[in-house]
Amino acid sequence: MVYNTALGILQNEQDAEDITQEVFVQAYEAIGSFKGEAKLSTWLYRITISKALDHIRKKKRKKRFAFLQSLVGANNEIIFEPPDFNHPGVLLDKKEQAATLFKSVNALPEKQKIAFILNKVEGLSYQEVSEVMDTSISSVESLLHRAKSNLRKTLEVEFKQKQS
Amino acid sequence: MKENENIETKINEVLNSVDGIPRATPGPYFFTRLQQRLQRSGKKTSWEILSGWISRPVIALGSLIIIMLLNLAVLLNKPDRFGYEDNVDDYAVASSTIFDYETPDTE
Repeated sequence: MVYNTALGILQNEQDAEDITQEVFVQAYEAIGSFKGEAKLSTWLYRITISKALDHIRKKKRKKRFAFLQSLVGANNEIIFEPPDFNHPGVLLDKKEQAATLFKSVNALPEKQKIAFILNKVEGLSYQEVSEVMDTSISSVESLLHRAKSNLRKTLEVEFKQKQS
Repeated sequence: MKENENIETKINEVLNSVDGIPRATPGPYFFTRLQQRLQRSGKKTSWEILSGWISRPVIALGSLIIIMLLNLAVLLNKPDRFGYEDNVDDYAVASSTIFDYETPDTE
């Protein structure tokens, strides 16, 4: 549950394992402060999403700093572009399509990405997604609708480019 | 027209490629490593917190520098050790001795 969500957001197995460990350590240390206002699973999902997004932001800051260093000539490291992400749960005949999908999902705005991962990858219902994201069901529907619309646009551009 | 239909089909296939996928699970020994980490993360005593804080290089070096500066300030402000007049009263004996009495003139 925690690992699968982290994996969907981070699209990297090593990072997802690290974040999953941190989530469980935090939950273990902070369980005293859990008041039971929401379900335990909702609480865990929220910690996972928060830590995963923090990790992404930290990575982006490092990349930006490395880029600035390279402009000044202080950093000669080659920037490593990770290969396409393959979710282990995807069937073999759909791996390529899923890799394309995850690449496009990575470009979505944060909230749309979270809603999409929770609903499509984690398999949560709209009700459950709304509890995790602390928003209304109609907001979740709107986020998913916009996510799918944005994904269609991105994929259309990509397929047209491939054809030409 | 046919091209657009083709692209539309491909897009739908991509969007549906993750439908119903099972949840991924972490690699082997993940839970063993996690258990070890949870056991190590027990609550620290106040001594452990203090020693952990003091042993940070910034704190240790900073304290050392401050102590050395204080020592230097004391050394520079110390009064002259060889000034006799200033110190003579310190060494004056409080009680009178036989040597303080003058012998009267007998003649």
